[in-house]
Amino acid sequence: MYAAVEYSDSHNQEVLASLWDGLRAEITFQLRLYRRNQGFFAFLGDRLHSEKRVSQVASFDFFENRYKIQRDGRIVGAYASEAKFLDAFFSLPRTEIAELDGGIEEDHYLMARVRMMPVKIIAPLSIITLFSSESSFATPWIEVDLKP
Amino acid sequence: MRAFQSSTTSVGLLVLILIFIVLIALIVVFSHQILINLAGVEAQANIVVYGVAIAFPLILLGLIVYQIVRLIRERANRRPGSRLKTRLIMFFVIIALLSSIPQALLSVSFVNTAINFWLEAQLGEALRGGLSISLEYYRATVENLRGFNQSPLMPFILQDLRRNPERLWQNLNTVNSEIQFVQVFDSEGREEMFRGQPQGRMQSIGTFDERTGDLPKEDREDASILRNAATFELEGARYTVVVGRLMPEGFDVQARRLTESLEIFNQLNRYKRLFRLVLIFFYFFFSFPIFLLSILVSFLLTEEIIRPIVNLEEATRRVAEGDYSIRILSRSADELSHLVGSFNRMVSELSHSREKLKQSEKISAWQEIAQRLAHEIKNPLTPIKLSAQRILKKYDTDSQTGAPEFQKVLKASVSSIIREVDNLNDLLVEFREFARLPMPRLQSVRLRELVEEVAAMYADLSAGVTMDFSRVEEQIIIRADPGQIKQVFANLIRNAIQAMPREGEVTIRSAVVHKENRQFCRIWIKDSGAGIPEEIRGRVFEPYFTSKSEGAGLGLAIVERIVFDHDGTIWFETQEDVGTTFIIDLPLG
Repeated sequence: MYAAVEYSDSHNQEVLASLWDGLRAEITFQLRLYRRNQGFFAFLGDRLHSEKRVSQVASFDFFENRYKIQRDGRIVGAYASEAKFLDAFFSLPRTEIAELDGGIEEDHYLMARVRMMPVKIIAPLSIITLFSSESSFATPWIEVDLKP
Repeated sequence: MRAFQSSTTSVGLLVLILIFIVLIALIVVFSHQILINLAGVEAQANIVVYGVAIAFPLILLGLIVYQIVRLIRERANRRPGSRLKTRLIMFFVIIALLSSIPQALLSVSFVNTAINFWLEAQLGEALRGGLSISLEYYRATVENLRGFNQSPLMPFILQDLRRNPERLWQNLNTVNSEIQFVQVFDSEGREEMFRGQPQGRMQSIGTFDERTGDLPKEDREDASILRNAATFELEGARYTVVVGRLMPEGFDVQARRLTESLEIFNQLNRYKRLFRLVLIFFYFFFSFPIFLLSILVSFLLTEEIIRPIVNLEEATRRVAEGDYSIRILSRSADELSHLVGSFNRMVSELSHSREKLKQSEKISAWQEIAQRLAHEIKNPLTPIKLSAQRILKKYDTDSQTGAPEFQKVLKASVSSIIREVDNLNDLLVEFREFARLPMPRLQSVRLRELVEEVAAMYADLSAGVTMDFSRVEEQIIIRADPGQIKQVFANLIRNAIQAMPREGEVTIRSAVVHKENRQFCRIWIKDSGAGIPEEIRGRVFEPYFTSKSEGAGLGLAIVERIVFDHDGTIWFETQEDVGTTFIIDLPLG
């Protein structure tokens, strides 16, 4: 099963300002595939089938004048255009969430949320994230029904 | 023999010191890791760290509160040494604070200085300047490649492509020595020629129109390569010419480091206020448990220090109360242990002296009793002897004269002998009772019941005397031999009644009193008689001393002996023409 995510409530200017300051920005897409628990065991809550977490780190290469996006430490895109870079940064391309042998069923549903850090804070400064909520923010979980 | 000795405090102290060392080692070794882990994305993963971080100081705080409450209770109960303990703990805490406060201030000041030093404006300018220089150099190189590749000279130089590629390379190098390699592809993307640094060689150029202009910088482990591609027409064919340059070795790495340093600098600059607060918070986060631990150690250390002093104080008090069996054990080898040794020797010698004194007192007491007993026995012997002599004399006279008075004298004299012998018998019975008084068989008995029983026996002894024992408390239970204590009450009540020949009142009351950390039942037996004359007050408990015409004078001696055997005390208060009160303290049951 594959999913793609686009984050529209973006913080474009914050991200660009951070990159021009020589800092990096990070966006994390968190996807969870659940199966509804029905009947007697419904009180136990729904079963988490699989979880996928993808982080994209953006930086500006002053030498090449390009915005770069890294995923798992590898550069996955370099953009001279701001608009193209922002589109790419705030969206998760088609990504495999889980392997479903029986395909998607009616009781499957997907939960997604985005965690955003306009300034990716690196160690040892990362400790301040414990005390400041300004450095990062996250969207609420959004539920998406899946159709077989 | 009772003995005081050191308890398990020293073991507890060792355990605490061990925890102290382990805690410091953990902080030193793992603080970096803990801080990084705490700042991880998933807070749930740090729940154990949070739990330990919160629970450990809380446990320590709980233990300290427990110790403080214990100390307050000890002070309220006036436990020996509690005041000294409080003072010592205060001293320890003050010392801990005195050493911690400058250290904390120094650390905070150091953090401030270090952050300010790191974030000095000059450093930021230097970093940005370094980056600008690198960028300038980089852009100049790119510009040079682009400018040269698009210059009108290039078509002329390329004339030698087919005829003499070697000369092409030499000419190109002569005109622009910055270029380190050249590579030419035909319209199909096949390599036509390559000269210069081998690292610059591309495997393919791709489609013809897509790859012209500045090509993306190629980053390799050993070098980074800048290229520029341009298209040319030569003898009817189209070619793509790529000229390039290898950046100086380490340029890319240094540039990356410069960028990263600038990133860290900018981050620190942006969050320096928060970061400073966080560092100070973590300083206290790690040092607060250590401070608490040091307070806890001070409690145990104090306990260890004052123990011998408290033992000495307690032992001295007991010696003062007459317990010479006490000894103090000491495992240490310091001055206090020498003091303890001296104390033990002193008590031992005191005990021996007291034993000798008691022995000699006992001997002299028995000598006195023997003298008194001899005197008491001698007194009736004279009338017995006189009566016997009188019988004998009368018998001799009458047998010679035949007078009839012998029978009369015989009867009177024999009656006198019998009376005196009876007195002697009573004397010896009382003496035996006094000498062979058995040890009390202790049991818990209700005081009121004993008093009621004895009072009932003497209620009708004298018509003018009333008895009031309504203030003897119902609930008081004493540890006593009921038979012996009844004898005590009987003797005292009888004496009280005899002290009031016409009328009066015997009042008995009781109360619970605290004496030297023990609870006693105090009993007052008061009469309204004439009181005890001052000249005999010091002798009332002596055996065979009596101010009355009848009795052997052993009653109060027996009373004192019984009370003493019950681990109690007896004394009296008297005032002539007002009355006498005997006061007895007996241990509670």
